Amino acid sequence: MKKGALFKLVRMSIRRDRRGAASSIFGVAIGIASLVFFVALGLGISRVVREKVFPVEAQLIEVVPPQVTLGGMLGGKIDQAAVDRLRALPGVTDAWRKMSLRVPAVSRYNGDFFGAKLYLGIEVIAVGVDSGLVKGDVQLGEFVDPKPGDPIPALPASRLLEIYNKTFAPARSLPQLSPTMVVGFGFPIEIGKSFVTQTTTGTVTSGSLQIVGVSDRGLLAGLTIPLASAIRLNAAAGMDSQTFTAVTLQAKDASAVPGLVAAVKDMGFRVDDQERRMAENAGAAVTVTTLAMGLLSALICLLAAINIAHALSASVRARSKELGVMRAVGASKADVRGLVLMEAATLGLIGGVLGTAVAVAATIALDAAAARMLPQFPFKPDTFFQLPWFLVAGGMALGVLSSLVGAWFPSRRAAAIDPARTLAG
Amino acid sequence: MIEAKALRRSYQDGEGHTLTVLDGVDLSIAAGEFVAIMGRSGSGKSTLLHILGGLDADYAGEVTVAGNRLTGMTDDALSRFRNQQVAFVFQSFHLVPGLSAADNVALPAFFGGDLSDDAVKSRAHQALERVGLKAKVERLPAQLSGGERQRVAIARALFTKPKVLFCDEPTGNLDGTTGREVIALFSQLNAEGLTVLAVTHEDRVSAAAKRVLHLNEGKLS
Repeated sequence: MKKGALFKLVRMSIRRDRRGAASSIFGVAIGIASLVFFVALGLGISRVVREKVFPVEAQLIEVVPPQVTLGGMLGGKIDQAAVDRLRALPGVTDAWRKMSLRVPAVSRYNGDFFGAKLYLGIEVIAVGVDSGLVKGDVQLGEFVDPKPGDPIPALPASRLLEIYNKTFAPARSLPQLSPTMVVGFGFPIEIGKSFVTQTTTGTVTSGSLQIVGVSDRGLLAGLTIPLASAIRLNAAAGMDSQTFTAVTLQAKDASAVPGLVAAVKDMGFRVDDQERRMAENAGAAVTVTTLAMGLLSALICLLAAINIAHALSASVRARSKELGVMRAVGASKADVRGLVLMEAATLGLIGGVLGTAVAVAATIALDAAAARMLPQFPFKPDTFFQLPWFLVAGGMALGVLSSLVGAWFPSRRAAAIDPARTLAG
Repeated sequence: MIEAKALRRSYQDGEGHTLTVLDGVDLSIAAGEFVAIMGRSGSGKSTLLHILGGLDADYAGEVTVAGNRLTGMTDDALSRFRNQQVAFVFQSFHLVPGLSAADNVALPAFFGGDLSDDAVKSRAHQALERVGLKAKVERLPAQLSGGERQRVAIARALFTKPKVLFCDEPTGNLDGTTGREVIALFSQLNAEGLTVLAVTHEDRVSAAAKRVLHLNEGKLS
């Protein structure tokens, strides 16, 4: 059938039964709107969990000493020899050492703080890491142990900054800080001192720290400093400066991770996958919820398809003579089937476009309402939704698809109309 | 132009009995003839017309129309045959309610042919002019009288310039004057060379035909 003729007949048919068409379009639009909305919400929340709450990189494995050691042959402490063995494992492209600052430290700040007055004393928790681990995050100078008297470069985690911005700062009328604003900010540190008096060591040395960037590859609830600084400070305080707190292994790709985890465990070490598991658990919860809502929406689409099937079946029955005439003047069975399917596809496309538009509008409205009405809280995103192009296109396509599913049997019934019997009399 | 040999067509009635409406019908119609087939209601006239016109393929026997052997044709081939070789005029007009008179006339072009849009429009207007409806090309069927609707149906039949025109009780729903006008139109078309086969139980149609056949108890005489 000619395309122009097909569109003319489809338009005529929809115009003739405006109420039925509106009902079909409404059903599809409701299903598609809810599906696009809930999937966008699920994707948006997943992104927040993945990128902000639990920023886990799939190719990184955090190796830590076992909780209980049974001697050198079965793991034990992570020394340089162990690091070398770990680095030599097949599938490992790099290995970065980590050593906690094993001596207590505090910072007492009294001065200007980004335009506000700040007086603060705080315990400093830090870990030293090889510079290679955080090289992509350092924005100021080199991430190395400084010359005597120079500040030690430090990297807070973005999670720490988020908690400061959403809970600490508002309660104390302190300014909001972006990752770029904090670069260059310096503050004093007293090594060997603790506000918990029993843990203060005999010698207290003063120094300073300088923020050189923000990184989620080091300590998520503290500061990340150069490994050499941690080794130096631990050694100066008489603490263990030979064994490492952890080693971060980089696998050649995510698929190599399970094998590497097994190999690491065979060597007697543990893999600290707490963050990964929390991310996976949170992600799984979001996925399950999204799937449940998606399933509900799919059911609505199915109901819309059934509604279309009923409407088109009735329409085909009512138009049997008209379809018979078309057969008499040369329409093939495929032409008649195509006509009914095209009617359904048109209704589905209109419903899909409307539904997707309603969903997009709802996401914009809800984001605006959330920004205005919800209080600030850690990890509060700018948007709770993610609307990738494939979701928008998929919503429209699903509208068409569900309509075509509904139209399948009516279209076959229409094609099976016997023109001789229909037109007799 | 039309050759039918040993045509048989049976139906199952509601009680499972087999009813034979065509029982070995032989028919030969030459090009340019105007033949009327008469018979009482239910005698199988329309069934014969539908078989000869390629609307009904469920029969036994041999049918050839305008050089096309219909027996054993695929559904697609029969559709092309109906689209390009023959045309129908029905008692109940059978126009598409949502299409204008011009679009109803051009309906065959929706499903076949290679005319441009302009050519389709032009030919539809010419066909309507031929049946005296030039001023009503944009009217919907509901805005036309019964006679006008039948003339639109005739214009639709003329649109593809068919070789055979099949008419099934063409004046059955028309008053006397309008019926006479339609019959006159058929005579005029036949005079121009169009082969016309009409099934009817009306004498005024058979009177216009050059040859009259009678279908009785499945046999043609």
